[in-house]
Order: sequence, then structure tokens, then C-alpha cells
Amino acid sequence: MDILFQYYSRLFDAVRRYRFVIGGITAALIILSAAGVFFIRYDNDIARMLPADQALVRIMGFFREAHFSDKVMLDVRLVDERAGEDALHAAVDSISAGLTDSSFVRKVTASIDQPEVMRQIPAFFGYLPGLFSVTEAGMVQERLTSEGVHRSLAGLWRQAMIPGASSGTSFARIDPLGIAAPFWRNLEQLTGALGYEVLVRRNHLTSRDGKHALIIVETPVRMTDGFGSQRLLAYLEQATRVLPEGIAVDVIAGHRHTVSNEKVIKGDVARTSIAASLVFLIIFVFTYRDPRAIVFFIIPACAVLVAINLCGLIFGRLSAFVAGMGAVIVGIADDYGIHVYTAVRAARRRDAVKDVARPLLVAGLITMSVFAAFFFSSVEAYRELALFAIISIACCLLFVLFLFPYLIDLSLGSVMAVPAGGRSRKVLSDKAVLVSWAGCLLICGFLSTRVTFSNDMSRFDGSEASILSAERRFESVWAGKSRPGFLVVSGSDMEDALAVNERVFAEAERAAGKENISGIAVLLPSSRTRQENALRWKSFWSADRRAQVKNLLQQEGGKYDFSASAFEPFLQSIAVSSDVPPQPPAFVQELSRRFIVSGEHETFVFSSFRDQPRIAQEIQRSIEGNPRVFVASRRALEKAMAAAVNREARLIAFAAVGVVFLLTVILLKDLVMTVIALSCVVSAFLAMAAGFVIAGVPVSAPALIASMVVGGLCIDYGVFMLYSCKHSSDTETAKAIWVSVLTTLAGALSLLVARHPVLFTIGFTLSVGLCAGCIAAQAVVPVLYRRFTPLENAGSLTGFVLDKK
Amino acid sequence: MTARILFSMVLAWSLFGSRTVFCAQPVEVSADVRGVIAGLTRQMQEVETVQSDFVQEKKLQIFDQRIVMEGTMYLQKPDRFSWHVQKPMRYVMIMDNRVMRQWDEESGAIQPLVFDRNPSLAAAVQQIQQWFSGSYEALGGEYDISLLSEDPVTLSFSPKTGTVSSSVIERVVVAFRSDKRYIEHIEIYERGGDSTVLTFTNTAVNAAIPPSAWRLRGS
Repeated sequence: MDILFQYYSRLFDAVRRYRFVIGGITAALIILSAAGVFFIRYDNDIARMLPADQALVRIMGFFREAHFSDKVMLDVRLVDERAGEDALHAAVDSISAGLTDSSFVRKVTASIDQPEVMRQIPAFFGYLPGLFSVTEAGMVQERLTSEGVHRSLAGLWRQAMIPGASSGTSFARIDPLGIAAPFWRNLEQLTGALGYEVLVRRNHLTSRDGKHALIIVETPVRMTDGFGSQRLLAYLEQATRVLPEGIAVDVIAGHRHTVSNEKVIKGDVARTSIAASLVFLIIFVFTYRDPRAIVFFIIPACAVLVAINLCGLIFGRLSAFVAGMGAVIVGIADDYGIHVYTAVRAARRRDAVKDVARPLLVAGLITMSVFAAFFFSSVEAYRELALFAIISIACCLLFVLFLFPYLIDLSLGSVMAVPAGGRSRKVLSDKAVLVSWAGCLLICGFLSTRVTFSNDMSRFDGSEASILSAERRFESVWAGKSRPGFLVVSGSDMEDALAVNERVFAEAERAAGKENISGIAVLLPSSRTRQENALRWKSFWSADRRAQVKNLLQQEGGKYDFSASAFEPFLQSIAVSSDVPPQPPAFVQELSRRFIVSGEHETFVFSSFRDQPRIAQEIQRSIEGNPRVFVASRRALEKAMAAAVNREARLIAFAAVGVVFLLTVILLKDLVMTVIALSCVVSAFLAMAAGFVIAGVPVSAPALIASMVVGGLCIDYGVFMLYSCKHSSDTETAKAIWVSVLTTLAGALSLLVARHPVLFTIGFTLSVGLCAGCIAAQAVVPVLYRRFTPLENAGSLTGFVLDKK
Repeated sequence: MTARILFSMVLAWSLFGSRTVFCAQPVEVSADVRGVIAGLTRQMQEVETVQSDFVQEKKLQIFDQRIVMEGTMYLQKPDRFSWHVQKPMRYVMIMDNRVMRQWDEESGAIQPLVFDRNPSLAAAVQQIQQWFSGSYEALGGEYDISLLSEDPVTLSFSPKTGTVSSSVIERVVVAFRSDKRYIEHIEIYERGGDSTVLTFTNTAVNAAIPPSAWRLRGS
């Protein structure tokens, strides 16, 4: 530390000689940085904010490849029923026809050719040989008795009893034994596999009440692409601008959340920045009575500009989240200017900056070390944040330590009469302070044992009320009974994935129950299995067996007066058999495509299950130990997210605590002083934990990040307060701490009016933590210092507390 | 498995896995027919319950002979319907709220079907109820309606091109009693050549329905 300070001292003297040149270069650099901000590519991809956890990446990758979240639903609805369903359908057709821009639209689905689908149904019976598994063969074998055939035909007879049309009997002619029945049931299950209920009316996708019609838009724009989402929504708004009277459209898309969150955050930042700035100005004006105090703001802001440019150059692009954290960095870094300004004005000499240089360097290095802990994170954006914050703080420190003193008017004299910490104002006795502090720590410590953690991603969603209300309306109209989860199988190609899917689905079906899971495993086995099945079909329907079934149908059919030729189509279909399995009919291929996802390196085949805890647990158990299978669902995603975020939080917290402690010990060169300085951090952490418990709010990832910032700031307070205790001299450090605390608190408290939950959480964490840290610094640190640092030994300390003279 | 259920299941492919069912739509008819339907609707709106004997005659390709069924049907608005066949075998089908149950003498088994789990079946049942309850305005979206006779009122319903019904049904003719308070007979002609004729006799409108109407014989 001494060497560092010596270098600084020499450098400060050198800079003094060339201050105009260096000042000019710095000004030019700042101007260039300000211009450069407009040329940097910003990225709003929230994927960069997620931990690089294998399970999480896999689930997110699946959802991304499957484009579930990238589909846009246009809910076209009748707001005036007099407009009528014709107008509704006409509006759907008109909107669909206008969605042609391939940069926003990959595919539009708004209607279905029902008769065409009807025509394809008979083709399914020709596909049966490829599905004729051992189970199927056993089932048919069981039916090939007098009793079995009688039961099947009795069912057909009963079908004639129902009122109305009887066209189902035409299918009975092709399949009187119900060989296809399990596959029909499978198809029916698949119809609701993605959790939505849609009616087909006059070829349009219509709600049960007939007042809504649906347009499904597949878009190449990813939901996580903030700027792309903005352009997509603008395009959709344009496409749905002109509507017939009585018709309205709701756009339901994850993209709206992305854009809305950005909008809400920007609004919050603007509001809180204005509010905080006003408070800052009031504090500065009343405290310093010098318009040049405004430079406090400008210094860290300029440092942030430089950092944005450097990070942009290093990373090629910058997360919008990281750039948004610039305001927080400004809030942290303006403290350095305050300390220099207060010291120089109080001492009326520019080199008084050297008097506070040591604590400034210590505080700056420790704060940077807190952010350096983020380098240990697997979250890309956090690593960016670490570099961004370190560069910002370093630039700020360089400026305040070398150039800022020359901007201060020395003629103004001492700063103000702000209550100084420590010895000068004793409201309570030292013993009372320590007892109160210990009591508070105990209470907070007790409460903190009840802290809960949350990884519910919806808690981070600050979308506007209109979006949430449109989604609730959409859910109430279109959503099924329960949300599905997905059992995902990966393979090197489709055939590989289909082969694995057969085995996995069978296991999962056994574990969860047939009624709880549906998939294409039965309808679309691998080519190899279909080949085997076709051979089985051929071998099963031997000439003898064909004759047997013909006799049975005639014998039992006669009892119900079935005509002699009633089942001729069936008898013909089993007579025609081939070694080559028939290709799936078009509708099976089309349906199957919905459950097959071709990724960049692998192919996924997925099945759908009811995402209920017991079922999910059974399915998870059935796939344990199989690396090619995983569950993708909201529940699974939250679980993976929870595990990853907790791991990240532990890692960062451990790294931060370790680095901060070590650096504090090294820089202060005294264990007792280190513990005293850290008392502010301990107080803040316990208060934050207790605050969350009292507020009934679970701790989330943004709160953890905010708590790291609190830790960095509180160690600053501790360090400066120790310095103040040692030097109640002309630098007026204690007063500077007050101003610094007030300005930081103003920023933190202003976030409490934020509408976005993430900003509010950060504001809450900062407010509680900084209040506690500040009180500890002002009230407890001086007492601890007096109690545990005997006056006769104080002068022998070799750290920054060492007397400057 | 009825044709409607088959249609709905298979159609699901085109809905990306969405659950697909069919049902009828608001009417779109010419002005003169609209007047008749409006009159019928007014008449039928006064009907709360119906009980009627019926004869259902089906001519199906898979049977050598016509199948003639006799029985009694009960209808109670808004959503109760029961169908009791006495001849040639005893068979009962009851639709009550969100559940359909059926029983037959031969198997003696009761088969419950919950509509919420079978929306396609629910839609099929909804159509049956619409035919019998006279909700023809709701059927009009899927059918072209023409007036065959004014006295007694006889309407012909032809499925519109492109609708799923057009793949199966050629025409449905509904004839009303002279007092227009209920249907006298329904004729259904299918594309495959099958046909069904339902004739109602001893019809009682708004009479109390006996509790036994909602009980399965086997229960």
C-alpha cells in the first residue's frame, strides 16, 4: 500500500506539471467516448444473463429450437357481437394475407382445409402394418375368437343405436376389429398435447364461444431479441391497424414482455434518475454551496462512458443490462469525488488529495474486488459487468486523484457543519451503542434463518398491465385444463431420436400412466421398427388366418344381420401385405413434425405430459441415468434455474467475501481494523436478510447482485470511517461520508418507486443494506475503534490509518 | 367411435397439437327462410322439456336389412338429453351436464364419458342437442338452409362447401308439426349412401319428465 501510495504521490506531482495537456487529452477521450456510445452494438438477449448450467442450457436450448416461445398468437375477437362471425373470419383472412414479410413471418396458420383431412383418413388404415407391434399382434390374436369377434361386432351394432348419422360405420368396414382404435386414442390425446383447445369452424381456428379466432404466426425473431421484438411488434401493429368495426386483435407473444419490460425499465430509470438527481443537487447545493460540485456527477458518468466504449471494443457488443448498470456505478463512484472535494476544500490546498488518497485507493480496490468476484460467474453478462464496473471505477479514481483537485475553488473554505461521526457527537454511551448493535445483530441473525429464495422467473416480469390482461383473456378463452410438460429425447438424427423415443416413451408411460402422457412414439416409430412391424403384419395375416377371420366375421356378423360384403375392404387390406412398410399418411407426418425439433447439432423428439408434481416425479424417475433424455417444462426450468442461480450465488458470494476479506487485511495490514471495517458489511447483510423476511419477500437473483454492491459500498464506509476516526483533521472525512451516504441512499430509495419488480428489488436491497451499513459505520465503527484500538498503539499502525505526518 | 370423433381427432394434426373439436355456428340464411327460422325459434324457446316416442329407421350399407329402432327420448333444456331404445334391443344413452353414459342390455355394461376429457364428443353431442332442441340458428353457419314447405314447415339443411359436415352429410330434412311446437321427423342423408329417418310420435311438450328418464336401466 505504501509503495502504491508513493507511486501515486510522485505521479500526482508529475501530472501537476502537465495537467493542462493531460486534461485536454482526457477531455478529448471523453468526447470521443460520448460519440462512440452511438456506434456500439447493444445486445438485449436475456440468454446471456443465464448461468451456463448444463441442465438449464439444455432446457432453454430445446425451447429455443422448438420455437414455442417465439410463436405469436393473434387473438382476433369480436368486441361487438353484431359484427358477426363472418366479419371475424374475414378479418382473420385479411390479416393473414397481409403477413408476408419473411423477415418477420416464417409461417402463418389461420385456417384448415377440413374436407382434405377427411379424405386422408382411409389412408391411415393402409399405414397399420408399420404399427403392428408385438402388443398389437397379441391384442388382435385375442380377438380372433368367436367371442372376440362377437364383441367387436356387437359394438358396431350398438353404434347404430345412437341418434343421428351413422357414417362411422363406413370406417367399421375397413377395421371391424378395432385394430386402429389405440392409435385413434393416441391421436386424440395428441390433439390437446400442447395445452390449448381450438374448435374448427368453417375452416377457421375458433374459440368455444365463437367470439375469438386465432392466427398462429411463426416468426424467425427470437423472443429474447429485444430490438428484433420491437420491430416485429411494430410490423404486427401495422398489419392489424385497419380492422372492421366490432373487431379487435390481441397480440399474444413473449416478444411483448421483452419490449414492455424494456419500456417499463426505461421509464423507471428516467423517473428515478430525475428524482435522485434532484435530491443529489439539493444535497450538494446545501452542503457545498458551489456549482462546481456538479462535477461529482460528471466524473463517474464520464468514466462510465469510457468503460462502455472499452467493453464494446473488447466484447464486440455490450449487454443492454450491463450498460443499464452504469447508473449504479455512477452512484458508487461519485463517492470518490465527494471525498476529494471535501478534503481539498477543507484543507484549502490541492495536494490535500494525497491525505485521502490512501482510503480512496483502499476503498476503490476493495469495491473493484467485489466486482472482480463476478469473473467467477458462468453468466456472460456478469463477467461483462465485472469488467465494465472495474474500468469505470478505475477511470473515476484516476480522474479524481489526478485532475479533479484542479477544478476545485480553494477560496470557498471549509465545507459545512454536518454532524461528524465518532467522538465529536456522542448521543449514547459506547456500551449502549455496542449492546444495541449486538441486539440488532442477534434479532436480524435470527430472522435471517427464515430467509427464502425464489427463482420464479415471472417475478422478474414487469410487463404492463394491458399485456397481462390480454394474456389472461387469451388463457381463459383458449387454454386447456393444465399446462403440459415435455419429455425430450435427443438423437444424432431423426431416426436415432425416434428409436430412443420408442423405449423412453414406453417406460414413461408405464411410470406415469397412459392417460397422463401422449407422444408420437406409437404413431411414428423408427424406420427399423416399422420394417419389423410390417414383416410381423405379413407373417401374422397368413392365408389360414385370413380365412379364419373371414369365417368368424361371417358367422358372428350373421347374428346381427351384417351383409356378406360388409367387411370386404378389411379382408382386402389384410391380404395385401408387403415387406416394405407403408409411409405415414400426410396428416401423421404433419402432426409428427410438431413433436420433432431439428436442432443445430441434434434432433429432439418430445412427448407431452401433465405437468403435475407426482407425474413429473414419476417421469423423471423413469429417465434417470439416461443422458439422452430430459424433462423440459416450466417446473423443470424453474428447478434448473434455482439450482444454477443458487450455485452461482454461492460461488460469487464466496469469491467476493474471500477477496474482500483478504484485500482488506492486506491493505489495512491489521486484523482488528479489518474486522472493524467489515462490521459494516456484516450489519448490512444481516439487515438485508431480515428485511426480506419482514417484508415477506423471497430473495432473488437481482437481490443477490444488489447485496454484492451493498457489500462493496459498506466496506468503503467502514474504511473511510476508520480513517475519519484516526484523522479528525482538516479533511472532514466524516462529513464526506455523510454526504456520500445521503447521495447513495437517495439513489437507492428512489428505486422504491420503480414499477419494475427487478428494479424495486434492487432498490429495496440497497435501501435496507445501505441504511444498516451507514448506521453501523457512523455509530458502531467509532465505538469499536475506541474500544479495540488503544490510543497508544494507534500510531504504530502501518496501514492507511497511519498518521499522514 | 363416431365419424365426428374421428374427424376431430385427425384434424388435430393441422392445429399443431391444439385440441380440436367441431361445433355449429350462427345462421346465415336468406331473408324468407330467416323469417321462418325466427318464428320457429320463438316457438321453440317456449319449450323447456320434451318427451316423445320415436322410431329410428337406419339404412346402412353394412347391414342387409334396415334397422328399425323404437323408443322414447327426453329433452330438458339446457343440457339434459336421454335416448331410450326398447326395440330391437334395450339401449340407453343419457347426456347430463358434462357427462354422457350409455348402457345396453347385451353387454350390461355402463360406459361413462366425461365431455371435458372428450371435447370432440362434447361437440358431437352438442350437435345432437341442437337438432332436437330446435337451435337452428346455431347450425346455420355450417349449413345452407332452404324452406321445402311452409305448412307443415319443412326445412332442408345442406352442409356448406368446405365444412367438415360436407364430407359426410349430403342433406338433413327437418319437418315440424303443424303447431310448430316440435319436430315431426328428421331425415339424414349421408354421402356414402346411408340414411336415417327419425319419426316422433306421442310428443309431450313442457310436461314433467319422470326421474326414471335420467336413470340407466342397468344402474
